[in-house]
Amino acid sequence: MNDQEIIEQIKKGDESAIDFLYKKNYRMMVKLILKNSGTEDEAKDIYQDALVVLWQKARNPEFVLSSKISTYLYSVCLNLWRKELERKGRHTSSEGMDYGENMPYDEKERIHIVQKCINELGDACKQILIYYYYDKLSMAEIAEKMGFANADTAKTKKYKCKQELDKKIKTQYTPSDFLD
Amino acid sequence: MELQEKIDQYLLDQLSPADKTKFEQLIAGDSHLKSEVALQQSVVTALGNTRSMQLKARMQKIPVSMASTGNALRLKWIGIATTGAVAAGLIIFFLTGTGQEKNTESAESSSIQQTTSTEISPAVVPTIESTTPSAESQTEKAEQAVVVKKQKNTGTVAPSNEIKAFDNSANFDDIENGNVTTPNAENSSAPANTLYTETNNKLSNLSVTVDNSNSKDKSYQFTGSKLTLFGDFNNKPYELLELNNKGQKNLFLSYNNEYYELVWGQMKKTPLKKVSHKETLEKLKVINP
Repeated sequence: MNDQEIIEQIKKGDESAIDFLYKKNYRMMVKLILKNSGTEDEAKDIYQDALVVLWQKARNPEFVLSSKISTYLYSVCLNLWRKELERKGRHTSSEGMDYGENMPYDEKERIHIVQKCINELGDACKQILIYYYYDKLSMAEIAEKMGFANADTAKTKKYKCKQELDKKIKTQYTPSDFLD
Repeated sequence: MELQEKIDQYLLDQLSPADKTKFEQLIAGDSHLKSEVALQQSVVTALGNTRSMQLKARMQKIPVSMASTGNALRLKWIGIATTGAVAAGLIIFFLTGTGQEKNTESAESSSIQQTTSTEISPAVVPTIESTTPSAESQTEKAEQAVVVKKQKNTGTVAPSNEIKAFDNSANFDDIENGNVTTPNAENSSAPANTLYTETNNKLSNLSVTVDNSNSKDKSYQFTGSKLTLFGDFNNKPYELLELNNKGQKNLFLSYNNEYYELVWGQMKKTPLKKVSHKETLEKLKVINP
């Protein structure tokens, strides 16, 4: 697979492309962090975050990779590590990375509420919603990944799962909790 | 259209610019809709967090380690390489009587790129030491003299020996936003594979094509410097690996967590045969965990 094919696989939600990239560039990325005062665990964390960034960016239909994937990942790792060092410099502690640290408290709280409700869903429901809302897969792609008969089945399941999630959230919290 | 569907389209950026503006005007004038959209936005964000955790947990399970190549094993290979190189040198010297050196595997490997680094303190506002992505330590270079790993695509691969230093003055925010546009990042010949090195002309000149017209049986065939893989190889990545052992170069194909031995120059279409030799498998797993 060349870089473009890998991106296509990622767009289709194929996690094996991430496995492949992770193994392929591991030493390069880890070495970068190790040479800049990081540990291997920190390096792993940063590198995994960089791959998550790539996964997320590739979801955007307008995403165009203007360099090699390895160059892109290298740059994201550098950036994330720079931010982590800045954070360490500010807090002089080695807590885990928190990319939401600039997020207002009430917004964090809201997401925490929803996160709890998502965790209460069954695995299949959770996965369908992730595929739809985050991986932005089509109903046909979701049907294929989940082993459903067709796109219509996937659409119905997604609808029911979303209803279940909304119900969980709204029985515990009022819509006004989500107002600024 | 149902409101929920419209909100989904808005949050997933599926509305046309005109519809988006219209919907935003609607949100601005309706507090109930505003709270509903805010709730659904939190749902999308929380699902994203869940997905990130899933992906990271998945990667965490992949067995990789900087030490995975093992110093003991590495030294053993270096030992074999050194012994082999010395023996080859002596034979050539005595046979030719000229002492004129021919290119050996290890000599070729000496053309590996230079490391370019800028050591800067990582304190407070860190500027980070940026190493050329392909740069490997001297020890690794030595190792690469005997272990060559190469990823192949469906087309001819003509990797460059020249690896330029990556410019860490790149606009990091742009990069994180998916726009790697700095000239150096753009032009950098960053390697597709850290373990890959141009140590073997035979392998580096090899072009690989995939013929998936018959996807049932997997086989291969060499035609000059061209390797054709028959079967369905397009769904998953594959790699070509080469082990230099006792002066012999053995070529292997890694695909879908299996290893297959390829016989150099096999002109007859030959079915792929899985590697079963335990020691060979272990060595392959070391270079391709």
